[in-house]
Amino acid sequence: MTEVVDRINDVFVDAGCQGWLRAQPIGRDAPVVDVGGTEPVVAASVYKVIVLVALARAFDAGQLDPRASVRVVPADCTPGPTGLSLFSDPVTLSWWDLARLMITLSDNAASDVILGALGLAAVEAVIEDLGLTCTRVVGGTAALQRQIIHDSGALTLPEAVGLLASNNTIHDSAAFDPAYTTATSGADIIAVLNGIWAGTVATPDTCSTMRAILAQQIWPHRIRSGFPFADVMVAGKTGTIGPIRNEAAVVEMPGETPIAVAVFTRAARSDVFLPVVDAAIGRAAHLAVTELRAWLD
Amino acid sequence: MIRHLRYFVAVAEHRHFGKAADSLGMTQPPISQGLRRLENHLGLQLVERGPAGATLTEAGAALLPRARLIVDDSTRLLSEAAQLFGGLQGVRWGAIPQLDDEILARCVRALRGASDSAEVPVATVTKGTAALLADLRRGDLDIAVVAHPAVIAELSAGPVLTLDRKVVLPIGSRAAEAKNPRAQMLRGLALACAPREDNPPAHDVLLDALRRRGLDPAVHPASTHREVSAAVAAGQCFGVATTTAAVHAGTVHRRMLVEDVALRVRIVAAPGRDLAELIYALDRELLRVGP
Repeated sequence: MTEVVDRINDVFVDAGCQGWLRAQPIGRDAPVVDVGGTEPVVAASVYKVIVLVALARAFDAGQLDPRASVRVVPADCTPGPTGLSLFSDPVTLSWWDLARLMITLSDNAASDVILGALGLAAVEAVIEDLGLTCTRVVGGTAALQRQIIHDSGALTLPEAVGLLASNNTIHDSAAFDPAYTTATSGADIIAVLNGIWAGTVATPDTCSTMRAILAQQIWPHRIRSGFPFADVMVAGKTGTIGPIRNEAAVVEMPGETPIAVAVFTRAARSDVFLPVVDAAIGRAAHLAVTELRAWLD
Repeated sequence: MIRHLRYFVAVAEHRHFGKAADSLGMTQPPISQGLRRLENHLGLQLVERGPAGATLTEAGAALLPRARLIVDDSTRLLSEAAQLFGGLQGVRWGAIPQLDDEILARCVRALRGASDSAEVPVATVTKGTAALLADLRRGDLDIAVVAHPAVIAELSAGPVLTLDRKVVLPIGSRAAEAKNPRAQMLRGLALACAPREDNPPAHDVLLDALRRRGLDPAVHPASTHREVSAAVAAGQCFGVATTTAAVHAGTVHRRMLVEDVALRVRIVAAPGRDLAELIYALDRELLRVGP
């Protein structure tokens, strides 16, 4: 086990990032591959998995109707690189489809609409109930964006992102510090995924829909890049903010116990695009999952 | 444990993570992570983290006096030990090979002048960034000048200092002869530079900047200016050099791609020690070399 930890650390060093990783089979406490997996880390959009659970519980409790139509006006939305905020005209869709956008392409607008309907307290209730000791959600994506704009001394989000992407100066932000921003840990987020896969965090039917949505995620550059096999399911959620690149996913080989793996990184470089770190997340996840498969065999 | 208690006391006194970090000469993330570890270890929440700052919980307030005693006692232990053994036993510092001999000597002179006790020895090592950071973490070095960007993690580093560099070219090569040398004129030459494993992120930043300009040079390992000059004089490579580096036979130094090839460094100090004088001395010297 120590050998795989060394190899995972080498992968992070080669990619020029700090890395935290945890992997364990669904439905079991052991074996575990752990590289700082119980330390608090910046969650970025990985927190949307917890919002998904809170939404599922609101459906189960009858507080929201999953098939109800929601009208979203793009101009009023939290901006983001993907999803509804890019649209030119208002759209109407169901709560489940909003959740699908939030998870599959990390749609910030959809997430903040959902969070607005649920309230932060509903998300905190999930955190409390599942005993996620390192996890805290300070607000939606709009709140994170305000943090970044404030700390970089910029006036607008694009200006802030431009300042923060420079390698020529240090621009730190509270949004990159787990003590101040939305944070979690590898162990915490795996507990959430475990509950979704075991069908215990909500009713079995709702959990089944959540699993289906997580498996529809579109991003192939992180954990999926470590498992480029058509018959292997990688159901997960990425998170990206400034130097932070994360993904938590369940990897399922046909006929084997599914394995949950969470990788969190913080790059030394500030560049907006760092394929070397994205690939390292896939490589590290692959090393951890391969180690666990050998133990489970 | 004592280190984490020190963080806790500082946060309690300043009611603010950033101010606590400043008072300890550190950055915020290691403070907040250290405190979080202490809380996990004790199984108690000590500090309430809010947007306005940090306030003590009931448990935190109850434990603060004892934490203060321990921290004060450990400070006393360290200062008594320092008195017994004559304080700083000399300055152990390190620099990356990209700093040329002249800059290195100026930094040594500055460090020597910075210590109050007149004749403390200054020991210098030249290593890649990753190796220097490992030495700092082990306590084998007091202070180092490393390349930026690098994975600094829990160490405390100063701001980014930019040192101008010129492109070192073989005499007679296209860029060496041109009135206005351009990136494209470097085509066909390999880049003589420190190996990637010295510090992958800074190496990648330089290579990516060249790729952005339409160059994709092969890399020839050459760490010091001596090695770079030898590789360039052989005719198949170009390199980069700080402005005070000697121009050797068979090579020309040209000012081009200024932003792309500038050397960016940070001063990193060993944790938990007061090295402000040394940091200031190095900082002033490197700013003088400047862009």
